[in-house]
Amino acid sequence: MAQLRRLFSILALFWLGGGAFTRASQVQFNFTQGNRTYSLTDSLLLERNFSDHWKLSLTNQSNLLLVKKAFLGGTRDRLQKYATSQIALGYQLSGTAEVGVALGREITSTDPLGYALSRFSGMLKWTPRNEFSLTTLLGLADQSKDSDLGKKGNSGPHWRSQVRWQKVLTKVGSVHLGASQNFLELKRLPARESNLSAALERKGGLADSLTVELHQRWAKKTYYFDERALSATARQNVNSSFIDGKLSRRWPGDWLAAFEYQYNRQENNYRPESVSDVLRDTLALDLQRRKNILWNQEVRATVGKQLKNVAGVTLGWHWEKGAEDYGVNFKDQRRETGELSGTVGLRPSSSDTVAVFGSIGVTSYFVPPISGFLSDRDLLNGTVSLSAGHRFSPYFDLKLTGSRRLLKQIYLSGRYSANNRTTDNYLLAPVLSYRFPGGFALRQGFNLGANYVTFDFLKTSPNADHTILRQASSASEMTLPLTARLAWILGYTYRYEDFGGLLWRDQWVEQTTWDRRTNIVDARFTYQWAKSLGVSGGFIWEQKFTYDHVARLSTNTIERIRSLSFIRKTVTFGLTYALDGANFLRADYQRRAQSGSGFSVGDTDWATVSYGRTF
Amino acid sequence: MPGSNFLKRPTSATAVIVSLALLVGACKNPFSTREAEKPLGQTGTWSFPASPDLVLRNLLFSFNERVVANYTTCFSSDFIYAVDFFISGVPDTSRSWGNAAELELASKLFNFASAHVDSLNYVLSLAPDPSRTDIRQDTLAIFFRTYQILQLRLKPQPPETTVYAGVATFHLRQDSFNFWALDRWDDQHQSSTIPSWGDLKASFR
Repeated sequence: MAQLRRLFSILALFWLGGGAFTRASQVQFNFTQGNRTYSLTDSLLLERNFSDHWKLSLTNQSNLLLVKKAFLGGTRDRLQKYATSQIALGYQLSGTAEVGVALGREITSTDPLGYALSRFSGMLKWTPRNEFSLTTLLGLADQSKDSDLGKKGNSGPHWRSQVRWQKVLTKVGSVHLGASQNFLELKRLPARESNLSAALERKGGLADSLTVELHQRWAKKTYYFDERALSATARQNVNSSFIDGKLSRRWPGDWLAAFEYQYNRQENNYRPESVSDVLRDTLALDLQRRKNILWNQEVRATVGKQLKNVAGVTLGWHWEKGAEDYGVNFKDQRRETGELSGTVGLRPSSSDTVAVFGSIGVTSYFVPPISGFLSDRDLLNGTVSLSAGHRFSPYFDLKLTGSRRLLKQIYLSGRYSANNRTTDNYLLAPVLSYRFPGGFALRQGFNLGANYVTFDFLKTSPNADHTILRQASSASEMTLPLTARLAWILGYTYRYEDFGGLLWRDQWVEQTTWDRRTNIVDARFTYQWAKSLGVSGGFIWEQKFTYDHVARLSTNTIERIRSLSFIRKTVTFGLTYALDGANFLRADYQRRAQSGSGFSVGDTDWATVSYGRTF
Repeated sequence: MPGSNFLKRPTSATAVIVSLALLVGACKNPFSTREAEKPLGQTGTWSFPASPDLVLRNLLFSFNERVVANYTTCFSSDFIYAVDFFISGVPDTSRSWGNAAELELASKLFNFASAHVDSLNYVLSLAPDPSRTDIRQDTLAIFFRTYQILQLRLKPQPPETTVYAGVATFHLRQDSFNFWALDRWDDQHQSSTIPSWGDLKASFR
């Protein structure tokens, strides 16, 4: 709370000071209160120019979360804080140079654990030419750590710099080079990081281009091995490389081809520096983390052709290979993916559109023998989808989507292969929309789906393991503008689901285990009180009943017995004062009351206040 | 056409096409999968996740039985796991990760436990959080569960026990396959002195 007061004090001083806010300045606050939780988040960037030379900026991002009597019916509240803020004063020396000072602080805490890092820096930014810039910060840093065992501090100098150079070369294209380093020389926790990057872009024409990017990073960081201990530290050395090459080319016949290659490699080395008795076992378990190498490379190729504005076709291929080498077999893993995909789009008339997409791919995971191949597995994914639209008139249209998705999961080990299965999903969803002049609208959607699960190895009696889940729903919605300011939206949704085994009786039949019926009625309104002031609200009533299908051997019949019931009523109310999308004040309230059998019941209230301003 | 001199020789284009064709032919076949061994027996306790409750049941059993094949079915493709605050371990470890990382961590944990089956065991228990009410919507559900994982080291005498405890907020969604699956999992420490499930997972990163 003290930090919050400090922030608001600085904010007030900043607000009252002279000078004009720059156009980059913006403020957002959000406060939410629930039955037991309070959350406050803010994001602000304020920048004021006091003269042609002097500039003051304040940035802050924070998140406070208070959970009352947090856990297990406990008696203790819990407050979590995360905040990062900086106030900076800049002076423009000339057209090419700027100097300044900055004070920044980062906090992460949940009582009694907490980190805080404060930095005071002098800054120089030099841009002698458009294609070259140098930024450097030099100063002092202070870090403190709180835990159950007490408080510990570390301090030392920090130095951060960044150089960028970019050049347009007439014959080659454009070249970008960059380098940065960040040294934080805290007494017990030094951290050093260096980055190099290079990029080459070659534009041959509208469709022909070649781009190559290279990134290299080296980092060394000492860190507390355990958040709760104040003594145990370890060091991490990182060496990572990234290469990305893209080539696109227009071929004869107006075919457009694109090719991309990516390579990513990261090597981490860890070395415990000080070990307490308490952590000895933890470190022993962690030995495998002392060195690891992670890498992956992937290739993507696409070929496409556009036939005037009537049709288009694209074919794609994707291959990826990667590995994780921890030096201990139970963690090591390799994987390889291959995928083919294609799309066809048609526009046979101005009223009709059709698009078809299909893809199939396999990802294989390979693990070392010592783990018993328990994770050695293949996943096959296949998809075919169709979306089509037809406009009957300017006010009436139909949209249709349909798909079939296939997922096959294969575990190679006999210990896991009993559950190897194929999931086959079918979906059809037509939607009819009527939009009349004056805002009146009707929308009717249907959704039909079936999900088959078939096992590769039958476990019990023939067929009894295969299952089907079916679902169908209807959603109706009417938008009713009563006046120019008041509109009602009324909706009704009905959904049916059933689930059961698939049995072979000269054909596949379902032996239903349960079915579920859901009804949802909702009524919402919006009222535009004034040009910038609006009110909204609504009521939603939901009812869901699940019935088990139980066989009565005495009567040789199937009886439906209600096993679960659920009813919820929700009321919402909102007030919005908005000049535009970026400048607004909004308040919302929601109350939910739910009851039923087999569910937890109770009332929940939520209130939210949001404020945003862009200068 | 401007720029058409870029890779202009037909021999270059032919070479690129031939190279690509060879590359495609040499790489992973996107249609074929490997053969599995015949099952040695029933693989764990698993139910078709036709309701959000069954997802948590599958999660519980797959963890305690170390069946990564069943654990996998509990998560949607765009799943996010997020921890509340500090997480022990290496720097540059983010406080959230996605589906692939979650499954890899589970594989490593299960493989590790299987490789040390004589000396190490993990036992998970889940219970409703009495202070919060579960939320159920048509295709969405949010469940609040307290959890406890006992890590038992069997070799020392007497055996040593480490407790991981906290509160998990499970956000579940019915996906396009009509399965219920975890969309998001917020993990909160029970107290700052007791490590959470996230700490256990992060130790395998």
